[in-house]
Amino acid sequence: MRDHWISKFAIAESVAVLTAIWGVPSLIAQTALTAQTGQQGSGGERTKAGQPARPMPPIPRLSDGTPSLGWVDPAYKGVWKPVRLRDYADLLVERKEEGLPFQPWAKALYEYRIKTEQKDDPESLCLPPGGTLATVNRTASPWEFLQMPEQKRIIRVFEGASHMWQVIYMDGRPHPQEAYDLPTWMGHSIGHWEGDTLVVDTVGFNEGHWLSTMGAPRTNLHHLIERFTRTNYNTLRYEATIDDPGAYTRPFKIGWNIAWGYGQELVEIVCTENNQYPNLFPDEDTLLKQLQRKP
Amino acid sequence: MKMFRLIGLVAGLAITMPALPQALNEGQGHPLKGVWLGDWGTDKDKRNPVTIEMDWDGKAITGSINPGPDAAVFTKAELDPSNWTVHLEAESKGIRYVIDGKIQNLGSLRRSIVGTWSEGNQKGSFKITRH
Repeated sequence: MRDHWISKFAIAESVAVLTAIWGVPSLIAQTALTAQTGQQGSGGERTKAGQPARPMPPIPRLSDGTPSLGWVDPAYKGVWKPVRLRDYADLLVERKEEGLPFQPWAKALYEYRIKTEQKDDPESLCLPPGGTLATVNRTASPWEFLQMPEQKRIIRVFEGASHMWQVIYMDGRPHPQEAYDLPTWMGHSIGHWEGDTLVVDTVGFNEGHWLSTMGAPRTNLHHLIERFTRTNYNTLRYEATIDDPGAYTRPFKIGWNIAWGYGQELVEIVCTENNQYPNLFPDEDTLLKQLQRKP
Repeated sequence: MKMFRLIGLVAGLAITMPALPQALNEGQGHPLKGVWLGDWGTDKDKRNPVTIEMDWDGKAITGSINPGPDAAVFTKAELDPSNWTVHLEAESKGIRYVIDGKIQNLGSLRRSIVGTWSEGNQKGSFKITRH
């Protein structure tokens, strides 16, 4: 599968090119800085063009006071832009030295998938990933939150995979029995706020996909709790507790930071079109020429 | 006797077929979970259709041979992930089944199990494929 065109650029190179051409953006430079450090800029940073960096905007909030996990001011629009993270063992936030707590069959299957270079990865067949794999899919495709407090639900829209979305019910309902009886790719998600952290509880996954692109398996007993915290405008802290007694000996927690893709919008990708979407975009050389022509 | 077997097979398929459409795209969890169709026989010309349904609850493999009124429920089911061999035992109406096989094409949703099949005092080969 070819990469998303924007991912062909290293962040620093993109900042350098765009800054040199337009002499701006400071916020783009800060996005890169934040992605690298996970810290909000103090305002003292400078772009490569030597211009002072514009102060990072505060975390936006909705009228009910909850943090916006997207954007409110169109001038600062964007999407969350994951990077490729293949092995969850590297992302463990507790008991890292023990590695993933596989059951014996799960460990053997994981090793088989590594040995066979993930040739059977369902995502390579355009099957939709769910759970943590939707957040960090193999193509590092961006996604965004659409918060609708008046409807007491939050929608997560994913650019990659199979044109997916996830409904997170915020109205206090429990998981219905149907979620377990009729498991689905994305499962059934309910959410609530703990301070400024969105906590999403999902059950009812089918067994159509893997837990990680490296090949860690999951079963329909998978219970996922995800925590999303916007630590500054450009950074989303993501932590996931994976409780799958079908494949693992105990629950475990993984986490990482996700960077804001400043100025980006989601585009249509339909994997089932034989993956032709990269042809919609110019290659790197053409893109650079276009950028250089821009006034 | 053949008619009874046919009725049993049809009944078994009636029970398991509703699960097939969903199962086709699944199968990335425990390698034995699912519905397996195939045959066994004492020689290549004398084959008997079989359906095996297996499940995994996180601790044990459960299931049966030819689900339905004449199902032979597993009394023992083991998977050795070091070499992907399978050992199944079942009993129904005084007939004891002992099945030893090995998973082939593990990563495929259409993986198979191939090996030896003992049913009462008969012994032969079998091949079942996950559907």
